[in-house]
Amino acid sequence: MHLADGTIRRAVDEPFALDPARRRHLEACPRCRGRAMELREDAELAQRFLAIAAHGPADSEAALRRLDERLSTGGGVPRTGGFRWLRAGDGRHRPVRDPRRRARWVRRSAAALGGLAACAGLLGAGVASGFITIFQPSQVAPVAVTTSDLSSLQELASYGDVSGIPSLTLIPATREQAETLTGVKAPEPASLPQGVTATVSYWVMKGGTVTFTFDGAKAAAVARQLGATLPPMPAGIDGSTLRVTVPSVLIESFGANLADLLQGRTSATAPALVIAVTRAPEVSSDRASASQIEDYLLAQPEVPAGLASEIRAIADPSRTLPVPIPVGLATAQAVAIDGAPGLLIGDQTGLGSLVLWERDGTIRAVLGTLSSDQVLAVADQAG
Amino acid sequence: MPLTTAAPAHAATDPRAAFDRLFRAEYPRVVAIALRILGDAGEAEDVAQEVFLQLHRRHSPHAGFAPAWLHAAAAHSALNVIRARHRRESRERRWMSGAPPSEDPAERAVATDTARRLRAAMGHLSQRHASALALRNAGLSYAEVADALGIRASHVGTLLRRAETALRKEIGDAAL
Repeated sequence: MHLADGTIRRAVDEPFALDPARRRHLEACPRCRGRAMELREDAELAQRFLAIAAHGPADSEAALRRLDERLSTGGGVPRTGGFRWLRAGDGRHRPVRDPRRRARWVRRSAAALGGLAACAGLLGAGVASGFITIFQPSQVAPVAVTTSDLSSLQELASYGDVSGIPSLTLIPATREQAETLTGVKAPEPASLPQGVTATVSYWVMKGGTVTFTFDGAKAAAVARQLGATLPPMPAGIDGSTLRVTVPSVLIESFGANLADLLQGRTSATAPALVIAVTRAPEVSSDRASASQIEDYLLAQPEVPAGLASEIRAIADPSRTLPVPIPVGLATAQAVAIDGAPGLLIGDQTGLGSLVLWERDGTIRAVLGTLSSDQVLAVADQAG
Repeated sequence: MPLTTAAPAHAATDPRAAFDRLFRAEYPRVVAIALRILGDAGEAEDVAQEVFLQLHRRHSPHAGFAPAWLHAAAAHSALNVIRARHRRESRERRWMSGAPPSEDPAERAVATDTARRLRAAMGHLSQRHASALALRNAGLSYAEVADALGIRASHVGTLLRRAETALRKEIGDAAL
């Protein structure tokens, strides 16, 4: 039984949307693979055709000002094309573009078309947006890290340009607001561990999209400043852009005020319990594949050998969220939350526990100044 | 990276602030959707302004469906522009006893041949096919395309395949 065209077409754009059995079939079946090539060809034809008039980024701020003008004056929507009503050659009045604005658009469109033509050749299977998903976790796995590991990894930021780092702002909200802002439902555990008060407050940690573009020249320049020499960045990676979508997180805090708790201001003796839910993060790439990036980064001098080995040991890196476990400070063991594989993390002091798991495209966590059994009992209800 | 706290959500959910946030988040994609139908940046931005204006009048910016509504409205409004133009030209042909429709001089000057081909091709597709192509090629994910069109994400692949087949018939192999 071969795959339907609709399924193959989706695999062209979102290979990880297929279940493992269909993915394996597509990889192994010559007929379906051939069909995928045909569908990709048509998809790329459509993409090129629809991009023929694309231009540079829209000026959202200017557009918002135009709309504000409309909303405040109640007049007509100012047209960006600068329409004026003129008498045309046949004697009828028609809206005609302001030729001065027309010239600007023509210049901008021509420049953008040139850029797009150059970019089109670099697009792979990521047809429409130019990005394909290379990482979307459906499970979690522990990775032991030391403080020096983390310090070393910070040097990787010099390998390119990063933008859009979220501020991780915590916003207090009602339950409805939190669910609307995050797109996930707040769990409702029927029973709480002894001592945990039922008073719950809701928060949203704002997410965002982080963009990172590899820059071989920049990486080499930073290395030279440090007296080191890096091997040239592979052409498949240099200039490649990763887009990391960090969804907003819904947080329920039982008992203590979350902001006070995080800043150590609470003096409450009652145990603290926090439940967090977020849609799974996603990493997409406009060119380099997940294996290319992993192979390249793990070979860099900034990545400690031990850490590289741990990451390489992850069986399915494109579907596994690595969870850093501080060596000497915490322990981790695999658990099951209502059938879903998860990770139970306890700190060495025994003061707190955290359980983390994935279900239905969301990452969930229960943590608090509680025992492992207590957080697991809440997690089973938050399932 | 230190955590910071912000003003309560009621400040974040002030309707005007929420509308501005939604505008900044979605405006580029709304323009991109319209552009893939109209082939002209100025017209695409005009459509985007109209679409946001309609949203402002009809729905709360907090509505979970707001982005999907915007995406669908962008495609439909852009297709309406094409169809209105076709109807006007047909009407002029009828009224002027078969003479060719008078062309807006600005239209002739601004619209490149490729933009005209784009509008002609998209205008000949069904609304559903044209919308699916515009939405997907403007950068929406399958889930977002599904939300905008009111179908399941698992059906988007089939719809895209049919749309691309139809588009290929319109434009042939010499697409560019």
